[in-house]
Amino acid sequence: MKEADPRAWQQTMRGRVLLAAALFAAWAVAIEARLVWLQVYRHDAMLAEAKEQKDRKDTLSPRRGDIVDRRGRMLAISVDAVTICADPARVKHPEDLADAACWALGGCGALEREAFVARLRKKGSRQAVLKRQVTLEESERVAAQQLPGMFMKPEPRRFYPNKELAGHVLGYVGTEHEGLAGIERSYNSKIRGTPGSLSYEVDSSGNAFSRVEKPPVQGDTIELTIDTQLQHIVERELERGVAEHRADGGTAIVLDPYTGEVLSMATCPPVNPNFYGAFPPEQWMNPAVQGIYEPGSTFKVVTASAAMEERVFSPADMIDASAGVWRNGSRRVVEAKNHNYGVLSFSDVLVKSSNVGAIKIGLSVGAERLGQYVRRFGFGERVSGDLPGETRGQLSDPRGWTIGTLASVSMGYEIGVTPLQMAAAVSAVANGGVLVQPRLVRALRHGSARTAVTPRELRRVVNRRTAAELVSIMEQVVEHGTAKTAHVPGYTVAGKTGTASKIVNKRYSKTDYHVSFIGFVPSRRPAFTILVVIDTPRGPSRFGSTVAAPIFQRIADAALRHTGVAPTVNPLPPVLVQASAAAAASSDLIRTAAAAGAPQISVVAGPPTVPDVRGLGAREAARRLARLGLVPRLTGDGIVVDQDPAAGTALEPARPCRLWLGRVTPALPPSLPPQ
Amino acid sequence: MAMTGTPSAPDAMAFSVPKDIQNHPVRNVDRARQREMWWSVVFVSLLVGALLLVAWEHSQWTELGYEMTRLQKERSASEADNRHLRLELETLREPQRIEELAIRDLHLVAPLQTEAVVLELVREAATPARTLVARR
Repeated sequence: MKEADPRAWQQTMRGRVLLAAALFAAWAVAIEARLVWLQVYRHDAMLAEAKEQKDRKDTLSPRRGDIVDRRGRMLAISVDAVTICADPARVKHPEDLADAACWALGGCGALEREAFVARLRKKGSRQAVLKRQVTLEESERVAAQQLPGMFMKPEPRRFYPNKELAGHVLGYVGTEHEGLAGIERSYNSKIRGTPGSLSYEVDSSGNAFSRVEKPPVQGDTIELTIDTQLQHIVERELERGVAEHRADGGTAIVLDPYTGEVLSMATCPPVNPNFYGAFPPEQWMNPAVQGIYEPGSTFKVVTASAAMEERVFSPADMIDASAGVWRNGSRRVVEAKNHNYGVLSFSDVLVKSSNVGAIKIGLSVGAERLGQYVRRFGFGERVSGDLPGETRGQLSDPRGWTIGTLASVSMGYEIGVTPLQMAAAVSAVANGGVLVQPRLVRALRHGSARTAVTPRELRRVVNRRTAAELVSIMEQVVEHGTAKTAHVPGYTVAGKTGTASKIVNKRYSKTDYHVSFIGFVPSRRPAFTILVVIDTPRGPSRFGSTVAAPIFQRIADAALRHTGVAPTVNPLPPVLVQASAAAAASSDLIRTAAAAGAPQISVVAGPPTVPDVRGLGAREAARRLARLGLVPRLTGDGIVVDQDPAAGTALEPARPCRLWLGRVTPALPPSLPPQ
Repeated sequence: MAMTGTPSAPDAMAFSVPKDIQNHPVRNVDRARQREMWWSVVFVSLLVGALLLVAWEHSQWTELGYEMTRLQKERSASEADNRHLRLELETLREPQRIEELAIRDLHLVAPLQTEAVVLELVREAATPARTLVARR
């Protein structure tokens, strides 16, 4: 028997070890090859895939700035709405998901459903937008279904909480958050802000971590000159007037004649920016700055200004308007209602609104000089620039004016003006002769910094004396002229009516008019210039005096009350207001003696007394005593533990008041709660 | 020389080792190796510690990332709530609505001119051109 080789196992083991080593080496080579394949040859693709799975990048939309009124009331605000999105890569059955989404959204048509499916089938995208800016209820219904691959994304949406209020002024924004009309458009670059970016990583569950954020810069807040309450009053009265006289529409502007601030700008019919698509584009035109009309007799204020400033006429000069007709070749101009005023004073030409008289004044001034004044009053140029699409109006070169044109311009025809131009021009008369740029923006707020827009005086149009004489004449228009219906009891009012035929089919209509009234109140130191223009009233009476002036009167009355302007005619005696003793002793109340004729509020209370300063720090105690005229004398350090004279003693100015300071807290007087 | 306990069989190894040493075998401490060993232990410990620190830091960083994301979402949600509430407030304060409620529900009427007394002429204080305002 052959003896077994004691070393045979070693051979066996060696073979097996070699085999294992070879297998291991092959495995290692395979692994290495795979690694090389993945990390070298497919490096870029794999990196991209990893980033695709892990890294996310979003653009952070800036919140559009708010629009507020002059008192801080919100007029336009952006809040987060919800946009419903889906990740097509995670959606296995687009049709089912589209059906479920449609159900949650309260049903959708076949076309909309097909659009959903098409978007869900775009596998290259990680975000398919299904529906933007849905309501809260819709988003909640979608979220409740927990549909796979579907998610919701906040997206700002613009709201106008006052609905139609100042709709034309505010304008609106489109779905891409760009201002498309009104202030939203003209200040779009300020309001929209700057987008930010957000980079973050997500884990396998889709939870975000490791964010790197460049925050968006929020848009500026625009502070308008509009007064919300006044705007409401003006819109209400304008709508009422338009309805009463069955007119096509109307415009009203309230202006501060000294600063040019537009306190209200109303248009009828109104528009609601929340549903801007529901209104035809022509209704979005703002007639206050984009609408041109022939002003008619209100323009005689400009003609009269030129005549008085150039010393062609003085208020007492007489003008022959006899026969009530002016002829120029075949053209014949008559007075309204075929009046024959005979010989009128210069003042009465305005008071009675004589066309013939105005023509004679205009002819005396001459085309060149009248043209200069027309331009100086701001006609033929954009006066504001705060609203988009503002027109210059229509003004031909005065050098080319014929006698007929000069006669027409003198009484407010053959010239196209905007209501804002007209309001600015008459404001120049109201404020003493300076044309101030009308403006709608009062300040811009960026973060916590507020930058006010300062009033801009464009030029002096007439001197103070001319302006004062015109005011006096315009007061007579309201007192015993054509605009008695504009009278506001308790206040002096200056104004001028206007009734201008509209051009229909290239001819001046005998039925369609622009009727208007422009005035300011109180006339001697006006708080408001108010213009009312009514387009084509169809009631029994179609004159500025019967249609526009009463609307002016209602607006002026409510506006004066709203802003607390005291009556100027027979003002009431000062009103005494009883103040409580505590208020009288503690405060800086109340010296509201207003300017010019306003009632004076006086504090009727007991004599002031020495305050209790025990428990206060030395500095604060000394400050309070000094404010009351007492001379503090301090002893020691710490807080006030005693005082002389005692609290409640009658106050004697300049009397020394001794304070003892200490580190022990004194017993608090019963009126003070423990800290 | 014979070893203790084996008198008859002299050990080939025994002859060169002193008897006292043979009976009490000692091992010379190799100080250099010991130092090396300790350095190795310290190094490895530091390495492991550093790795643990890095892992812990990474874990904390991730946790804080989650936390920050959560807090930012919370802040955004609060801000959105705030703006929704402001919108609601402004909608409720709408002048037209207030007037309708006053007339229809409370039967209020505007006072006549003879019934109204103007107490004060409101003149707003001139605001400086550049000011700081509180943010809501």
